[in-house]
Amino acid sequence: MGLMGLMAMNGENDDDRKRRQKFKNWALLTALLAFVAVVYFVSIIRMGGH
Amino acid sequence: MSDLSVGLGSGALGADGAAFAGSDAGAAPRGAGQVSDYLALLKPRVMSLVVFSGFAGLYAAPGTLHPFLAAVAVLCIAVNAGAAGAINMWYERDIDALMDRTRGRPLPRGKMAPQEALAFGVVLSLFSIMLMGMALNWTAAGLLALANGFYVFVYTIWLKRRTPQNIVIGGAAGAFPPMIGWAAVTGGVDIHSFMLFALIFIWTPPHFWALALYRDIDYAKARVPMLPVVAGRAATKRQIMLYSLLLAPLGIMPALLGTAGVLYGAVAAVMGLCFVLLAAAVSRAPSEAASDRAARQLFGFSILYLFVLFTLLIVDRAPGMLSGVLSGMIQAGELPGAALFGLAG
Repeated sequence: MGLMGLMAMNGENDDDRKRRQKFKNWALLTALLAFVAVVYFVSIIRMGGH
Repeated sequence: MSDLSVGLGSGALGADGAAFAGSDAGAAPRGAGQVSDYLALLKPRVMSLVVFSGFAGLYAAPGTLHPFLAAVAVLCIAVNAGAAGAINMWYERDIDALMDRTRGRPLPRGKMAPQEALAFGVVLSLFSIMLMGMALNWTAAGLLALANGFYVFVYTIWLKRRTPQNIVIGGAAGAFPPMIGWAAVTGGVDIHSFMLFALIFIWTPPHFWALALYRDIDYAKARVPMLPVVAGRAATKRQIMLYSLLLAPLGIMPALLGTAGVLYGAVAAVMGLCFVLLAAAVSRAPSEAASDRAARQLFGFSILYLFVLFTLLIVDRAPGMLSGVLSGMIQAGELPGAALFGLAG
């Protein structure tokens, strides 16, 4: 029971950690895409003479 | 340079830091930080005042800027300030764990590994400086880099743990944003933007010393040589009074230089006087409890002071706003009493 309980706990921690990691990956992807979009629009505006 | 190296060793990797590193390794495995922890690293509350003063400098500057580029400039100022805050939290994680005010931060709570916080801060610093240079101009980017470097190396690493004058010299880092905003529009630095810098520079010591007066136990626990801890409460109160007396006339200078209008000048004069009166109340408080109460009032008012003055700086530039109307009336001699004060014409 002790071992099973420990494994269940580890499983929960792993799931939790994977979920958080996945969320962080999506957040990073969003930030990078936003940065690309900002650079794109800045380039367009600067080429327009501003 | 050697001082900086010593600072790095004693703060981040020295005896205190090493003791803390053990708990970091155990409690916070690599990659464990949540997005909310990363946001907390950016010190959002500090960032709000930085963004606001940066925007005010940008808005008050002569010239025009494409709205998208203006938004990018403000974003760069915000992200850079947050990044410097993250590096500050990485370096100060040992003393943050000792103070009530800071022990809830992500690193003392073991929410992430220290190197994650450092990498986050460095990457955001570099990205924001590069973007400012590409989108606006390299003068603004250079000032942004200077502000970041000043906060991290001069204030956090060099001065904070060494001298009670830490906040006086280090306060320059927080004074850069309006100058950066101004440079983003004009591409340079002039007397107007320098005066906005000076305003925050002189405002910073009484603001932080008022906080330190009622948080002195916290700073003493962490062995941070804030003025009340090292020189005592009486000396701190004298210094607060001195800086308040300097700040009151300095606050009016943007109106005298033409950076802001009459409404700004009038409000700055009244609020400067209130600042001095509150500083006097701190000085004259009969007991320690009364002194703490007065210091809290002064601390709260100092934030209001800066917010109101920079708001009026923005209002003065907005077309058709009250100050513009008021200035017009004074120019036309329509305002009762304007001639009496030598304001007409």
